[in-house]
Amino acid sequence: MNALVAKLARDLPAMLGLAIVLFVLLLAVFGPWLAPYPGDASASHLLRRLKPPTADFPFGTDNLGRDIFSRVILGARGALAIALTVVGAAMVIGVPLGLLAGYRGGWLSETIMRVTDVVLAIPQLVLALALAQLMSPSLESAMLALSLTYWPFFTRIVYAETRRLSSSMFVDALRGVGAGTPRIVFLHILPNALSPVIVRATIGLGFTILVAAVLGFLGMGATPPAPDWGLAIAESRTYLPRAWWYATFPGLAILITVMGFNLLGDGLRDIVDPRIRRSR
Amino acid sequence: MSGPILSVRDLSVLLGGRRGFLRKPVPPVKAVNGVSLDLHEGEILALVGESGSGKTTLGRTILGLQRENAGEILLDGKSVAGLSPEAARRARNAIQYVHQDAGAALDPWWNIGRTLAEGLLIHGVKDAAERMERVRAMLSAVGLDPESARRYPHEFSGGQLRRVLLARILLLQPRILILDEPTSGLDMSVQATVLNLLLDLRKRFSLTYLFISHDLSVVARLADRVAIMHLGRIVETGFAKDVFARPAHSYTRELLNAAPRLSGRRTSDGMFAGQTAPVGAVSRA
Amino acid sequence: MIPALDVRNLKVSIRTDEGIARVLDDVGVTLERGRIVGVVGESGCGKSTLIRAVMGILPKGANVDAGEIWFEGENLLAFSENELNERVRSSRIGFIPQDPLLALNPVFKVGTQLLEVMRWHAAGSRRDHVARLVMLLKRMQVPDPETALERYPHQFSGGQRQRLLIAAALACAPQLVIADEPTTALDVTTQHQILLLLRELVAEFGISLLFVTHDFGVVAELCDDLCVIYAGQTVEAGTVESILQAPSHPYTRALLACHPDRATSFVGIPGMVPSPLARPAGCLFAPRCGDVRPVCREATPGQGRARSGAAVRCVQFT
Repeated sequence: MNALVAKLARDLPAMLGLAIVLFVLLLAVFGPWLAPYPGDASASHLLRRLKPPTADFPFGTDNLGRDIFSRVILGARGALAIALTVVGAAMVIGVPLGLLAGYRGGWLSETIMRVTDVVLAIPQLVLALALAQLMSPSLESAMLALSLTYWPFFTRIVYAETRRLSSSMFVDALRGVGAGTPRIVFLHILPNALSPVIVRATIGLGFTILVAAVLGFLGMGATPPAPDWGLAIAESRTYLPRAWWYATFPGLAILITVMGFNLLGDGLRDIVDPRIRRSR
Repeated sequence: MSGPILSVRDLSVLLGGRRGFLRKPVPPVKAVNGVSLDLHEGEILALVGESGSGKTTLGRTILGLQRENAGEILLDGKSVAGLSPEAARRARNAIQYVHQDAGAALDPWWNIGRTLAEGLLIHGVKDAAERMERVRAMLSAVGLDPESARRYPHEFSGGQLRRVLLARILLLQPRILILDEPTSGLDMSVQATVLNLLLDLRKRFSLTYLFISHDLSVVARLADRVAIMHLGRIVETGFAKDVFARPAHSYTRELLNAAPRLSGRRTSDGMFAGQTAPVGAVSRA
Repeated sequence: MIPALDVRNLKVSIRTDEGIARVLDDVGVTLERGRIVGVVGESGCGKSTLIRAVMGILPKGANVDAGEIWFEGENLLAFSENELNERVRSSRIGFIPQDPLLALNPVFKVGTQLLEVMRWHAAGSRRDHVARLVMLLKRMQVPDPETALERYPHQFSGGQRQRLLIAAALACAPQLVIADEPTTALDVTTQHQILLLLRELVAEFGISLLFVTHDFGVVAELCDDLCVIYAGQTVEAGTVESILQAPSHPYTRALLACHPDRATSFVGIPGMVPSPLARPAGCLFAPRCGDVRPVCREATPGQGRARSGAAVRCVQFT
């Protein structure tokens, strides 16, 4: 374990990613206490609308006079909440299906994988828009759509890993020693299959934040007055290019956060693979 | 001397084969083709053959993980054939298998203490403290530091992993060990240590070995009896020193002729001239 | 007569995460023309690094600290990468790798791969190259040599693939061939045929062969000369006959005593090979040596000569 952590520590981009992720996590948890104007999550101060960045308002104010700096900080909570819920739900659905399909084979496995293929073909945004129409646009409809379209990625990974591990020598040795199927699948195959899943989940968090931002931008996700980053960019459109700060800072928040997750995910992938693939 | 501890009669195993549904049907291969052999208590029987001879399939079938298509398997005179892999393993618990690649046979995410204890847990030892005690005792018995139970497979050398593997199955108190190429890929000095350990363990735990190998030098030194396998059949069986001194079957002669020997370039008849008795010879009562 | 290959006092170190590993710490191998030398050592002794150094394909982070590699009168270490590619590899030094399956690209026909190498290094037209390859394949006893070139690697058995690679190594008529444990992955009978074949080819084509292995039996069957490597150092070198009959260095003696053909009991060699990251002072084998004396731990022994004529790195012979 220590060797893995040490190796990760040597990977500068991964460390940068980890720092960003931890920072965003910090903002998400302690946002209301860190933001200078926590009330600006909802309150409006029309007297100071569209002010450029100053010492009092480092990122300027938006069209309702709300401090963009505070709203960016407060938006972290929403972004992470969506990301964790979506990826979490996708894993809960996808991982067991992958295990089931990978271990036994036969028609059950074929059926699961074909269903997975079909769902993979559904574009996330299109489904989100469709659900928004059915359920009325909200954060919930966005999260549902994203979860329903993300689980196949996990199923595929877990399926491939389970298949590989089922025919591995240590599983064979376990069968020789008398281990039953539940023990083999849950105590041995699952932990070994989780490593690529964790990598995928990390990158998926970043990806989900991006897609959620797009949905917010389209008005199909978070609704006003939520301090959602995508929503802020949507609202800023009419005031560009004069109020450049309105779109720039929420945009940068999205960029840096997604990049942070991607860098961390890449770093995790590097430390996870060699350790397992290399025998002895 | 009573009957053999393990007996195999006319065993056949078919592998591969695909029924045609949307694909072209492929006929199965007779990996094991009507094999009969006896294993006597306390002996080392070597199963010698090249790749494709069926020796690994035969080993796995005797173990139970591979289901036989025809034939009889008798353990202590009782039939244990015709069972599913899980049932077969339960019925033939006295037989355990030592894999060729020791590192690959261990779960990389479990420390070896836990891996060793797992076998005991599966076989009903409920008390965790008792399991740990037995694990530590067995680690010492195979020449490893009991404290190393906390470590993970990748922290051990190849030779040490082999000991871990042996410890794991010895904890299950087997009577017959099927050893799959225990010396292949090992350095000469490590090989000697492993063979020494195997002989020592056999004496201490009263074991019987089915020793699968293609290394004739090792087999000549270690085995009491030898069975030569070729294309799914056993072509010759007998006491090792007899078979190597006077091979009857042409394939046996071919194998002996091809095996690299320290004595260097072939003599014209290619036999093992001047062979002394095997190191692990057991005197028959 | 200058030797085909003369590696002298080669020292190679590799930078690793845990420090500097002295993988080769004064290795010498002499291969006379037209002869076969076996380089024997256990895993971790540095024989793969030795081959890589000769071929010029050391990994990143590896550094040649000292020594020379004399090939036909020129020091290979002084060559640039380009010069090695154009003037040495394949054309004058052929290479037979350990695993034929890994060495051949599975998506290209065998002929395409072999001809590609010849196009770079050998003179003549494509038709000449094909003719030479077919001749070689026939000599290797590959069935249907004419159509063999049109097949893919997976359509051959392990032994046949290794023959293809031997043909590839000889395709451009090199003077020296380096074989890296080419028979380890093969069956006993196949190995026997390949070893016989190599013997014949050496005589017929007049090449010199450097054969790396960990199997003394193979060395006894194939090689003329022998070089034993322990922990990155040459400890004994001489003819196969003399060393097998009368091994001098304690490590050679201990190793041969482990071989089932000579073992009276199975003992192994106590202790472990020193890690290349932490070399003890003095003789590297001293911690495990049965004949150790106080002076062994103080200074590295120099090169001596045994009665058998072999060069031995042991204080008993200096």
